[in-house]
Amino acid sequence: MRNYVLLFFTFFSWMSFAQAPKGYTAIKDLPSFKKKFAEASKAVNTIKSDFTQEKNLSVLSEKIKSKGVFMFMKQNRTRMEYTSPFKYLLVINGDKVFIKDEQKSNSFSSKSNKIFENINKIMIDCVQGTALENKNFTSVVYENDKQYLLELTPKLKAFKDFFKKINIFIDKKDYSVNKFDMIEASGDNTVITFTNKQFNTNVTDANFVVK
Amino acid sequence: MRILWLSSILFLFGCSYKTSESIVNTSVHNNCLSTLKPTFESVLFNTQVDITSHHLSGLLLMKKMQDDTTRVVFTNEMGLKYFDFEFTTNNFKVIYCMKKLNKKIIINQLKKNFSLILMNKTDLNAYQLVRTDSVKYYKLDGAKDQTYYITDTGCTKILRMEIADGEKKKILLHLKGEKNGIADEIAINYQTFKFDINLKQIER
Repeated sequence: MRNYVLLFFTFFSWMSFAQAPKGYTAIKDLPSFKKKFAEASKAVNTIKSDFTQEKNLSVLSEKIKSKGVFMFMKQNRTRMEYTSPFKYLLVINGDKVFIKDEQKSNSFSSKSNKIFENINKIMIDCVQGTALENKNFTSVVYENDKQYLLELTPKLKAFKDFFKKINIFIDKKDYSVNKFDMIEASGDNTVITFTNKQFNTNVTDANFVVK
Repeated sequence: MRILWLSSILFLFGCSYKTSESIVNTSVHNNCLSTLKPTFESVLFNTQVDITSHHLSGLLLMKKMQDDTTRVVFTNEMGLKYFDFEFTTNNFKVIYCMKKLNKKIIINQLKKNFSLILMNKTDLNAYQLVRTDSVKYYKLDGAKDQTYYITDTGCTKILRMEIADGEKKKILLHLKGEKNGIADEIAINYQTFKFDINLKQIER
């Protein structure tokens, strides 16, 4: 009997060790994290930051890199402007989406596109500190000395077709998002890293105009 | 929804307009085309797709792999993958295709166009030189249509490609410039309805 108990604990301690991503351990105090994440988010009305995006095509050993400027304004306005090596603008204002590429611009309802709707919701949840409450994902939180790692697994089939998992890396200093890592079933992934983050600065309604 | 119109429109693709050019068959074979195969290793194109009143954009990667296959991968600007195709000599495989795009009619059209651009047929020497004046026409008869590569008279570059049904042109592919072993710009224009794909290389 004792052997079974020992085996049981060995197995589950190995499981929990194996499941935590490299460099991270399971969070020790989840309620405290949730509380502080929500509190920090309450104090943030706008965000402006630079971002770099890296699309990794694993089998092809290829990385497609781009960069631009990210803006957010409460309650639900997001702007991603790619500036190099191509020009591309995405504005989400409520349930309206505006896209401008190098040739044309287009606007539509985010409700007509589940992927846009869900990605937008994740971004807003992260900024508002409610990422763990999103019912379309199961979530697990890990930590190391510098960051929290929110591992979100989609429940919706429409989203599962694109992403196996979304990892969100949150800075322990100010509870802001450092990085999104969107992982596809094929092993390819897209990493968006935010730098030069400015909170509550000169972001205005004009940045989120949807024509 | 966007993809439904694409399928429907492609089904209507049977009719074409008549070409004004008359082609004289001179029944000459030579190895001109084999010398003009693209030699790129990895190239990235800014890509615009217009079909009827709809518009899509993204990044298209063409990469030659060590096993002699060529991968053609199309993603949107934010990294969401539309498709990943593998071309080998005379062969084609869908590695991944977004569910909404994964229709035989769509894949066949994309396969036809990219296969032409990559020149991945072993029988390039089977193309017949059918016309010579200011340019050279190299023609291959297929089961349903004919494929043409149009080169300059000195066989130093491919100017355009055409797919036709008899004297009726169905698809025109225009090439412009040369960079990294392949055209710098490629425009694919369907002649029977509004369906255009425009590729322009991005420096990385």
